[in-house]
Amino acid sequence: MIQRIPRFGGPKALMATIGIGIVGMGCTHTIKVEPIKVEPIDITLHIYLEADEKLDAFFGDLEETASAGSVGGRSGGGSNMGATGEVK
Amino acid sequence: MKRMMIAACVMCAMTGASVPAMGQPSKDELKVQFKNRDGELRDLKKSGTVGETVDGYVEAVDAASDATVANLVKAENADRRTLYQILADEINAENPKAPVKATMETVAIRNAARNVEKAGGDEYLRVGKGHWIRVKDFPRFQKVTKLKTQGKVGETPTGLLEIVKDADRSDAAVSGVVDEENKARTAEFAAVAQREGTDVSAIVRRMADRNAANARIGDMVKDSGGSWKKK
Repeated sequence: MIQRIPRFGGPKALMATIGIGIVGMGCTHTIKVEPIKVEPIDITLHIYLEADEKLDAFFGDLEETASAGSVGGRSGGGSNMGATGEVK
Repeated sequence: MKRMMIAACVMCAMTGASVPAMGQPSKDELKVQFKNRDGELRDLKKSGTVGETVDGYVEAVDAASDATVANLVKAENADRRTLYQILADEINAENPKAPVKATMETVAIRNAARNVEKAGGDEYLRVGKGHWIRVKDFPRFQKVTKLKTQGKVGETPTGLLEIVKDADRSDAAVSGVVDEENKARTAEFAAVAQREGTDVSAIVRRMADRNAANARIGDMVKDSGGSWKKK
């Protein structure tokens, strides 16, 4: 008995190859490692916070003394200027 | 003696402490000077003679102020400048690897924000050349500035603010700010004209010119022909 060994070829094989190729392309995993970026806004914010702390430390005593010595704090006072910024 | 001075400077440099430049007051000396000036400066701010500026300094509200006020302002600003530089140097010494360095201007701007927060609503704040507003009007000024930055509103030859694009006219958030600002401006034009005994149109022209001159790069400004131009 001669058994027929299935041959691989012809249009079916071509279709299968193309199919595997397409599926294979779809399964490609690309792992991209993005460099860690430090946004300039964060750096600026850090400097702002440092500056705020320094200013608070410097003016803290002065402001405490002033608020203890004044009645009604810093608000109030006459107005010689209006909404447009025009000086009377 | 000279050797001791050098050693002291080296020690300061090693510990990160700031060394005042030759002839410049130290932080402690500055503190005393600020304290000595504080009462008088506070009174001048309350009376509307002196105001803070958005860049962290003080200035006489009326440019033609007397010599005493001018000298006080000069001394205060000189000390602030020195302090800002000392604090910026300290920040940089404490953060040697920081990619962005602190500058005198950075510290000055932070102090401006601090001073606005602590100021009374009727005190004055200079927001542009020859442009003073009351501290209580600053939030509205900020809203207007934001809309200008977005290109949604611009200054016009009428001295009033206007919405640039028709599409934005239906936006209540935009029109609300514009209406509020223009109402305040219109009332002020009339008040200034009455006070100076001049025609409202003269005040309008003056304000419009000032606002156009103070417009920042990128702001929309309407010309006398009615066309919007990006500054």
